[in-house]
Amino acid sequence: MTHKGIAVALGGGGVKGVSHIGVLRALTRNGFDIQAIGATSMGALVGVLFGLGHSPDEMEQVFHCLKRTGYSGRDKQSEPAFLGLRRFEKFVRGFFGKKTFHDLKTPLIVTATEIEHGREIFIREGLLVEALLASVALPGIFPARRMMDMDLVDGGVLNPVPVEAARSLVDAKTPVAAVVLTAPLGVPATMERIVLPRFIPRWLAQRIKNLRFIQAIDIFLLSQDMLNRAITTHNLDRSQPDIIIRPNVTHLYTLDTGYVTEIALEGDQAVRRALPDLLKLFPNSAEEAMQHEPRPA
Amino acid sequence: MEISLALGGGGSKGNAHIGVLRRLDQHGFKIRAIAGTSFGALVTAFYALGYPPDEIESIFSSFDQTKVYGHAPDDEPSFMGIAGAAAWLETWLGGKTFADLKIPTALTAVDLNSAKEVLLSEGDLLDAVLASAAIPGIFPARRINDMELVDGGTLDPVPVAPARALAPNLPVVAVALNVPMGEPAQSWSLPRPKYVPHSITERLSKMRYAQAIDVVLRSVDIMNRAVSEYRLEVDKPEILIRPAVSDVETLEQVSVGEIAKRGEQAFDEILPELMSLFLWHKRLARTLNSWSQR
Repeated sequence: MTHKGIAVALGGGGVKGVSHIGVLRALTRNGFDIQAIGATSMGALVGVLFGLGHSPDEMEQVFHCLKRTGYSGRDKQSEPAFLGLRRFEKFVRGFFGKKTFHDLKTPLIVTATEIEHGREIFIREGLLVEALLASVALPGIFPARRMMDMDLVDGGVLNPVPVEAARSLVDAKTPVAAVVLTAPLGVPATMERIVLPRFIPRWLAQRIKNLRFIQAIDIFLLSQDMLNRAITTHNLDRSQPDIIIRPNVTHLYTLDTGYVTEIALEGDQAVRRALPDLLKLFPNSAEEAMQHEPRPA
Repeated sequence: MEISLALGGGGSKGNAHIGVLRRLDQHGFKIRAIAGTSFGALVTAFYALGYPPDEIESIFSSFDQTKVYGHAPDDEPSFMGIAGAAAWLETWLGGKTFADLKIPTALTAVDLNSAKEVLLSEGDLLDAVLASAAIPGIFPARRINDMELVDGGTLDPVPVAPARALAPNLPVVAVALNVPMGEPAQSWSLPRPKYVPHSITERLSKMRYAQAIDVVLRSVDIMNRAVSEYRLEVDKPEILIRPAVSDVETLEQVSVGEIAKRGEQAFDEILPELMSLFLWHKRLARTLNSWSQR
């Protein structure tokens, strides 16, 4: 059997990122060898877990735990932000707080955005936790991280799917697969609407959502979502990944918590849909697959 | 010397367009088609109605820039509202339609529902201008034919492709006002009401919420710039004019004449390059090219 080495770029998208677990699982099951990962935001968490050697089931467990503990919570000393990331930070520190990029079995680049000049930063050494916290720092919602004299926020701001990062880790012959979690432009907006805390009763929530002030924020967020999709489209045009895998998750809210197992399965299904094209990237293996397939009677 | 013109968005920075238009007129360039976005759409509307640049400058100067904002009763929700400027524009553009324009014109906006760029080239002119300039959340979205329209600059700050579509055989001159990548990100200072003392606004801006908003707005600024750089790469104009206006904020109160001058300066710098487009062999190449595409 031919060796099917591949590099993957895991995009950001909050809870949608859980589908990366399924993507990695299905790729491995179909005999692809994941040689390197470029990842940002929630993709970075999955990339780190995979790189540390955790199985897909263990990764799902991590997200189940996070769903129970929650992500947010503010620290007095952290940078200003609406929600903060206290619980998430505590969890990941407890889980792999001392591990560095050297401990990874699969080479990984985590990306973040340097906010002062608007540059994409590749992080490939140091503590994994630090890189991860910078990469998931959704601007304003979660605190920016100070690293190497830079203010870093979510890598998805400038490049939602870090294809170049993944490509820089492998030789020119190895194909790069981009896992994209946002809808293309021209599809109706994903309605990244305001999600209110659960303890607010529905009648009150409805009133709050009807406030003109809140509706103005809503329009702002909608246009943000479009801007993000435009940036994704342009970046993919420019970086030309060898294949694009699109899990069916574009309808989920970024900050939702959602059903871990179901979302992960969307990743498996996306790989299944893309499998014929994936195999075409390895001409020899496609022939092999043909030979193994039972001929129709 | 015929050209098609694309005027980009940028709020108060957009007064620089007036200077570019004045120089184009002075040097005898014929603007055969014009596309505008946001503040560029406003300038476009006046120019296409036949106002000479000097007159546009004096009209814009006559407007009291403290009176831009405000909410009208049936407006869509927004933070600042644009009722003041809309009422004033009504006196100039009220009742005018695209049919009144002297040259082929397109204004751009973005439909929030379909997440698509929309070209406005017919119907009520003022509606189109206000849609094109509706900075999302800050100014009210406009409803036109079932669409919920906001600032065209959200997806394409400099409308090069529309300008080219209007006049496929002519070179496109584009005026971009966005700050290039690599320069520090800008936040927005929303204008504060006059009656709020400075000491209070100072305090407010030090609050953690205000600082969090500042991070959001700076990242939006970076995203916007990234999108416009990509777009200018994909739809390359023949000539790109970038007036030096990065110090001017989008909603700042400015001297119209002073910003217009910066447009003139930027024009003077690229004039040789612009003239070279009209050497006989370049023209011939363009003509042949347009034939071969036909």
